[in-house]
Amino acid sequence: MGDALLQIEDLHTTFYTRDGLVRAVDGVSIEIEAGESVGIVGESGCGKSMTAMSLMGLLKKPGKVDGGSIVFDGQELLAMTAKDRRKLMGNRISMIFQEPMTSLNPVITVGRQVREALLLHNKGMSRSQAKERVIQMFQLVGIPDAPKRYGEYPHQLSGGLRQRVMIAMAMVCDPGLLIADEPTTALDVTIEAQILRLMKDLQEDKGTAVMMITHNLGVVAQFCTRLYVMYAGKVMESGTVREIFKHVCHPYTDGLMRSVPDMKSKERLYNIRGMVPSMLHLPKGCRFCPRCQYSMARCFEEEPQIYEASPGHFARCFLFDQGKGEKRP
Amino acid sequence: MSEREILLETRNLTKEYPLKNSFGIRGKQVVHAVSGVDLQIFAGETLSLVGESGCGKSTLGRMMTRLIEPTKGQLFFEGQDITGYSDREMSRVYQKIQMIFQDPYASLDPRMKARRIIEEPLVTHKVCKSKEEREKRVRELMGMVGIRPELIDRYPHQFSGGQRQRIGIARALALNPRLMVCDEPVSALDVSIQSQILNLLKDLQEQFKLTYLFISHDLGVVHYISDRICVMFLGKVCEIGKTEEIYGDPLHPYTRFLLRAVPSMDPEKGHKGQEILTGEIPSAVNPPSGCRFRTRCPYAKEVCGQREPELRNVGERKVACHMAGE
Repeated sequence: MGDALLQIEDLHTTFYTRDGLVRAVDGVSIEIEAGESVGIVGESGCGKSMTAMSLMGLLKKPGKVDGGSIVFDGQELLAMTAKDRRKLMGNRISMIFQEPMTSLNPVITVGRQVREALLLHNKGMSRSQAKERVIQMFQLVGIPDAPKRYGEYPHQLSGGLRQRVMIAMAMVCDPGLLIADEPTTALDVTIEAQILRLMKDLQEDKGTAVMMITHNLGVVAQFCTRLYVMYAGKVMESGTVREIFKHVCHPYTDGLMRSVPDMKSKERLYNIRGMVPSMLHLPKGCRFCPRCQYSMARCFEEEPQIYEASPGHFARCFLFDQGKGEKRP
Repeated sequence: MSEREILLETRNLTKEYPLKNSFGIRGKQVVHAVSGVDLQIFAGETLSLVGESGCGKSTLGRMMTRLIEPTKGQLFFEGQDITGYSDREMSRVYQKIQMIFQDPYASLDPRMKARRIIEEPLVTHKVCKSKEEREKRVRELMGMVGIRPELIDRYPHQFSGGQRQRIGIARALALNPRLMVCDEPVSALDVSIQSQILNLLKDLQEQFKLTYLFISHDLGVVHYISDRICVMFLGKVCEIGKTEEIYGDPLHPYTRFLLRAVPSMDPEKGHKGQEILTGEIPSAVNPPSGCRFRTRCPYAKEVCGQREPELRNVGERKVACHMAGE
């Protein structure tokens, strides 16, 4: 503890809507060490993207961070002025999004967009130096014909190339932390494999830590070393990828894993019954208990804490409350 | 195989879209969306069309339901050539072919209640005699797809994504079709909901002896649901065969790379050290000569650029590759 690159402690992000409070992120704690790749997994509406948005300071009204702390590299982000925080974003922490078409400006050439990011954070750099650096970066992320592509507009590039431009933009300032929000969801599988390999190579070469936000458990298994599973605004399980994929603890994670067809067996898929609860009307007690096949009377009354199931492996479930730590079959 | 009834068959089915220049005038260039596909769907089976975006799987699926008119080729349903059928003649066929779409948000009219959405085909084809009979049928259909019949008077926005997809399925089931064309029916859904819908589709198939043409890019889903699969690349069929055979031993290089690209759920093994497919899908306006996959294929030889590989039998499968089976 303490020497992590990023330390999110008890983060609360709330949306003040007409219908009531929506606690999109409800006491989330996440730690990422330098150079580590960490996955944040969950279904839509679980708060994974909102955690990233709170971290980046990109929350839109009526959303607001109203509790907790985010410490990056020893600095408390939530106590910083907006100006200081902006200096850090894109420079030390950068982000890539799911849909590269909507995050690139359609009327500015891709080269200029990446160059802008570079010049913004390196005041002394000349334009020609910056251009050279951007072309180098394009080559590094595997954009063929980089000098020609520099002068093209986003619509002239394919989805895979656009995502490469986004990665180039995110990596051009050598950030310490890269947040990737569903970076391959909009891409075809063969392109997805290319992009994941590229990100892995860059991460290993440059020692960048990556926070991979995804709903795809396969991507996490292949890309990440540690994993946080979120459900309805809370972290339900966390630990190393190896440990969780081998000895899954939380019934939600278990259900999620068994719901994915695995290309091996044709056995009937497991169904998590019911659906994700409305964030306006969360069930009392454990948020997952109405859908859980192991729920006990206690689950409907009190909220479970986080319990350590095995060293470094945590689950928010009474099944792992000490003393009664018997594992499920 | 020969005794099984062929429900739907395509012969040399082709779709080409003329390209317009910046003045909106049609030029000579065309987009080769689907090129000469011969396919048979047997009664009671699930055949999946797989491939990446732009491979023509959706266009092919829509041609099979005649939502898109083919440029060339023929379409047979229950042995009848339905290629030139008029709208009136088609309306009889549509009692037996129905479709489920990807986006449950876009494919339901937001101003119609669930009742009207589901009863629409019953009204159009005048199957129920009275209003009461129709309502009974709608409620029965809702029960079949797992939506409480009390919700009959709700609007689409009051349902979740998974429930909306169930309503789409109920609508498709209303006329007791034989063939259901499912175009990416679970792609827009979360995993936990996806598995519910997949299991529902399987149950309905068993119960009503349905035949599915399933279109998807998700190879895990396709493996789970299908008996046979047809892999497409740039408007052409690469490989058709039984699911287990193709997943166990893909013969076409594209199939092999496609399967390998799927991120494995096992962190211990993955495609880390393995070769992955480089490059991007070539343009469908000027597809490469000969084999359309050759520009990305690491095994391409001279012959691949000169001659287009025929779809030929290798064992029980059909493969379109010069090298396959050698």
